[in-house]
Order: sequence, then structure tokens, then C-alpha cells
Amino acid sequence: MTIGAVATVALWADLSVPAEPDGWFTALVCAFLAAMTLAVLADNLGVLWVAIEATTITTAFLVGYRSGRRSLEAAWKYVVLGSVGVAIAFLGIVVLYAATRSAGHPTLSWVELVRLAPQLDPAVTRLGIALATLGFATKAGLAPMHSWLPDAHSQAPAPVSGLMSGVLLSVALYAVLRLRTISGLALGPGFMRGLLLVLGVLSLLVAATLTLTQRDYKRLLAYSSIEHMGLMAVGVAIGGTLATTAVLVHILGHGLVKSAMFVQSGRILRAEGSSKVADVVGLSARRPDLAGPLLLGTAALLGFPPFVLFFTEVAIIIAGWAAGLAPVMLIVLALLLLTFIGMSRQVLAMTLGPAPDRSVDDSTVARLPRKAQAPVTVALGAAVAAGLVALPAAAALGAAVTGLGVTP
Amino acid sequence: MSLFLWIPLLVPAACAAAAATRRQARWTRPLGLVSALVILVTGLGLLGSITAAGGEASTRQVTCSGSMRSRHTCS
Repeated sequence: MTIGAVATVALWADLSVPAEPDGWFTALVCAFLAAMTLAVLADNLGVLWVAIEATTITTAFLVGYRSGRRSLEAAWKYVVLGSVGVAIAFLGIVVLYAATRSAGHPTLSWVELVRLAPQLDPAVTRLGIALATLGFATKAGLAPMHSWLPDAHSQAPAPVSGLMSGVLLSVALYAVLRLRTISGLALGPGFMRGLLLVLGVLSLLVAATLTLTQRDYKRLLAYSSIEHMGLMAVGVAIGGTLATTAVLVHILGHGLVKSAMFVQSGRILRAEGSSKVADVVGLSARRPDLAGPLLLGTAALLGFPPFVLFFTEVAIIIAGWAAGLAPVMLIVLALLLLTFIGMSRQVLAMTLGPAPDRSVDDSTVARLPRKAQAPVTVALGAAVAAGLVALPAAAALGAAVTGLGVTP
Repeated sequence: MSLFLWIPLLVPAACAAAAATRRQARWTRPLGLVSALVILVTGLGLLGSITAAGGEASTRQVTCSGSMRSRHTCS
């Protein structure tokens, strides 16, 4: 559902701009969607791995689609680091399979792995889980394996950036979430909690420090994705119904808002001809049709109420506090505050800063038609609605969390 | 219920094949959005089915009616 919702926003916005049909681009996007859907529907770790590898292949072509020097460089970087990540994950899956084989029941089925988990050899399982988690964490953009993400997201066409940030990262995190369940049953909650807390807090630290110094607004959004994935990794580490439910809703909210923001950043890039913050200052005076959604989307990403990310972030912090992780939650809050300062400073400069002296008279530039603004408006509206319906939808979310077999 | 698992896989795959074979045709341009909408609607249907059936048992049922079940899982 999240894949469909995020893809609808990103591709609807792309369709609202007149362009010639491009069969290869459409084919790659559809194949990418099919691969992501297969990854989340498969009841088999091997099929999930194949699907995630397929997303790497399709998105590598999409990242390098503009064929410029920088986009090809970003595509190669993505292919190399993504392939290393999925290779490590493959090694982890093989080791995990070996563990089930020595338990007398060789399988890669999620349901069977959960059933067999208490009988698995702890040492072999620990190695397999650690390798698979590190591999999938690379695809999820978690630090220290995040370096492909800012380049790939800033160089890809806007709808592809939205899809990659909104759902591809979350599909990889979903794999980690399922591995956590097996780890919890086989090794207890401590091992995976420690590993994911380190990766999550490190991601938040990287995002906070780089957001403060970033001067490119598309890369700023990419670092925001690292921040949100870090927070979600912390939520998965905490475990339990509240934190896991919050992570699932956060995946939806972040996907909707981030895809809308990448669409908006693509429009700003097309209108202003630069992705540097310093080149697009004073947008609210010159182009309110571009500045308004940018401000609202940033508020949503930074966790302002009534957007859903406010409720999920609070729920993750409360769950962590209740799980006895108060010091870690204080560090998380401090890093979130730093990211808040870095991101709001740049976006306020872009929107509310003084307008530069320009040779072009902006009052003559055509404004975006209402039809073109609809996808972004719907996405931001859905991000508010998701927060308001989270409580009535608690039964469905609870069923999803129970289905994942989440342990504290 | 297995329709909710097969449709979101097959429709985007078919759209990808159609767009790759008819690269200049105008009707291929909205195929990405069509795929996205199909995934969204079937996802909502799946969520509704799970909620209606309630909890863990139904999730297992979804898994067992799916295409990637193992021979050990659903026997």
C-alpha cells in the first residue's frame, strides 16, 4: 500500500508536466515497482534478496538516466556500493540457511525461520543475521554505508528520487525488521537492538552534521532521508508494538512527504536552473507557488504537528524511554534538534530570504497550474490525514505488527 | 485473497513489458501511474482483508495463499 501511495504521488506529478513518451523510462519504473512489491510480498528470504537486487539493477539505470557526467558517476557509485551491500546480505542469507540446515530443516521461508529460530545454532545465526543486516542496511542508506545515497538521490530524475527515498529505503528496512524478529527469537532482543541502535544513532549523527553544512537542496533532502532511516532503525531496535507500529506509520508518512518534496525540488531546479541554496533565495516573494509547498513539506519532515511524522517520532521516543533507553533517546533528541536547525536554516533562506537582483522579471514567469500542484497537495494532505486516522486504524496496524511477529 | 498478491506483481511487470516494446507510443506514458494505482488499491484490499479476518492467523493465511510459499510452511 505504501509503495502504491508513494509511487502514485511521484508518478502523478511527473505526468502533470507535458513531455514526450519515453518507453525505456516507463519500463524501468514499472519494473522497479514490480521488484519492490515482490520484495515485501515474498515469504522467502531468497526471493526477497533477488527482488532487492532487481531494484538495484533498475534504479542504477534510472539514476544515470540523464547521462551527464555527474549522474553517471552517481549511478556507478550506487551500483558498486549497492552491489557490495547485497553481496554481504547474500552471504548472511547463506549462513542463515546453513544454520537451518544444521537444525535439520533447511529453509529460507520467513514463517519457517520464525518457527525454527529457537532451535538454531546461536553462533552461526548471529553471524548470518549480522551480515544480512549490514547488507540490507547498506540498501537502506544507514551510516556508515550511506555514501551512495546523497549522490544517487540528487542526480536521479525527481520522480525516481522520490521513489528511491520514499519506498526503496523502506523496503530494505522492512528486510531488517523481519530479520530482527528471527534474531529476537533465536538470540534474544539484545544483539539486534545493540546493532541497530549503533547504526541508527550513527545515521542521525551523520545527517545532523552534514545537514548543517549542506548547500545543495536536493542533497539536503537526501540527508533528511538518512536522518529518517536512522530514526526508523532506532524504532526497530526498540521493538515492541508501539515502536514497531510507529515505524510502519513513519514509513508511510515519510514516503508521502519525501516524494512530494523531491517533486517540488525538481520543479524548483527546472524553474531556477540551479540546485544550490544560494541561487534560489527569496522564493516566497518571487515564486509563492513553489515556496508554499516547500515550506509545508519541510515542516512535515521536521516533525511539526499535525503531520503524521510528529506523532510517530513522539511514539518512538516514548517507546524507547519506556524500554529503559532514556540516555539513547536523549542523544536521538539532540541529533534531531541539530538536523532541525540545519534544515530549517537552509529552507528559510531559500523561501524567506531577500530576493536577489535578477535580470529576469519573475512576475512574467508562468505559475504552476493547479493541476500540476495537485499531487504535492494531496501528498501533504494525506500526511496530515494519516496522523489523524492512526488511532482508528490501530486494529489494522496491530494486525500488521502481530503478523511480523515482533518481540520486545 | 491471493489475487491481492498476484495482481500488484503482474500488472507492473506487464506494464514494463508493454512500455519496453512500444517505446514511442503515447499510451505508454501513464503506465507507471497505472501500476502505482493498482498497487495502492490492492494494498488497501489486502489490509482490509487482514483486518476483517483479524490478526496473526489471517496474516499467516495471506502468506500461505501467496505465490512464494514454501512446501514446509503451509502444509
